[in-house]
Amino acid sequence: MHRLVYFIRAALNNISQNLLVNLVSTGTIAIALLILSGFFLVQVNLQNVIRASAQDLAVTVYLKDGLSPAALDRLKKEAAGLAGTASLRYVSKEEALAELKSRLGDQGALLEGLEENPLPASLELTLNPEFGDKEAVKKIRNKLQRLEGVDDVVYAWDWAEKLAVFVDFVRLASLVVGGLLFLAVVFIIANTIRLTVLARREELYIMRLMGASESFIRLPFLIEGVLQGFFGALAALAGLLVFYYALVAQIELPFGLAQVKLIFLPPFLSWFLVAAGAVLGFLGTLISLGRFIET
Amino acid sequence: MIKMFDVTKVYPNGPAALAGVSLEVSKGQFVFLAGPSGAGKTTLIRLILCEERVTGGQILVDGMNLRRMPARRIPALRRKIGVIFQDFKLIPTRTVFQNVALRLEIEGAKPGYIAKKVRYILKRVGLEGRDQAYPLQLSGGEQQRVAIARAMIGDPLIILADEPTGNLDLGLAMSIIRLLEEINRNGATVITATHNQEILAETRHPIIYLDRGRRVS
Repeated sequence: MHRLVYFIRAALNNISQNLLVNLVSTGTIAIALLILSGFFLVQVNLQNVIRASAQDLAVTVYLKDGLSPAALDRLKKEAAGLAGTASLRYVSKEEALAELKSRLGDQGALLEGLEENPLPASLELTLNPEFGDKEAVKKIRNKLQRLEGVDDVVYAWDWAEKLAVFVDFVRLASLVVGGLLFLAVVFIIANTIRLTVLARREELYIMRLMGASESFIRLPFLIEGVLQGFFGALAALAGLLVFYYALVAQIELPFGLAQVKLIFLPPFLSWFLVAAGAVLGFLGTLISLGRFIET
Repeated sequence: MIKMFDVTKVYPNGPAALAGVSLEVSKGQFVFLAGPSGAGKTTLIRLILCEERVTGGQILVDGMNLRRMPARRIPALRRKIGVIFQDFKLIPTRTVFQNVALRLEIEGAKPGYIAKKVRYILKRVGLEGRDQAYPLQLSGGEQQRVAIARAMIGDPLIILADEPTGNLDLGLAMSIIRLLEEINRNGATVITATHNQEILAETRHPIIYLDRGRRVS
């Protein structure tokens, strides 16, 4: 135990003797990890939005104009009779226009000038939860699509799938940017430790003559690197928290997504970031020592 | 304790620093290594410390063959040896206490034991109360005493002193030699390299003379 205390004290001594270099290095690591954690934050929240919209079990069936009341009745019966339909509501062209006007609020007056109502009548279906998976919804949609008088069938999956493509892109981008930032962090730490090693070359030589083993000499530097990465990651998380409360949490999501809450990084991702900082510090130091401490 | 057989050391593109040197230093002996600058005294000490490897011949230290010694075992060899240099080689950013304690910290001794032993050793070399000073705040003689305290604190089997009196006047030089003799009386084998003729003239210890890399007596 006293050995570990000695190594930690030696590492803190190293840091205090090269405080400015260590601060600059930790700050740079913090900025790099902040960018990376920003990507994580976007990704986590987009996935949240997708998940929320996928749980929305409403299907909208847009109807062709000019359907006879008899055809409409038949269509309603057929749609209501489909396996998976929990409830059904008919929205006429007039009701659709009225709903749009109320959604637009003060700007509803813009619709006054329309010569004819462009909105289609629709049937709004709610599905039973057991029919909420992607394949079941596709089957229901195909059946609805084939019914007489149906123009189009829209389900939340449609745009959720488009959003998923975007999320895949964000994930790929964060992998690429993350990889580059990881390399940058390793490089920064390796160079900081290199400066410390160079500054203490004579001291290390003396320690070797006194019989210090390589591990005795290396451990304080490794701890120094790990501390740099660890505190850099903590600073990045603190910065992200400020960014989250100042900007992200203030964002108002559009209608339909009001139930989705924009969240901060989940604990496991926060821990991952801190652990990644420490591991990067360790790796950077290892590379640096391999190159600059001769046996 | 130390045996050398036909030891040769040649640096790349240079003349032989040592050529066919053989010697034996028994356990508990005090030996002077004498000769002018460039005679090979420092090279010989560096070979015993395994800072350099021999080009030819064999060196045995406490039964260990240095020629075949793997690098990972060098620290253990060096922990058996206390080493003193002409330029002291103290760490300027560490206090006297921290410089002397280094050897015990390397061995993994507990802080309480280190504190007690460092104070005891500093008292023995006449530096009581100077433990919080930094090397640059000390005189040359005091710095050399710190270096001796650091060399002796681990109770080494061997003390290697490379021109330990080189920067000191005769009075201080003799006090350093007397300190080394005291360490020798406590059981350590001492090899002291010097070209100081006044010290050599006064000593009754065996002297090994080197000249241009060869043993001349």
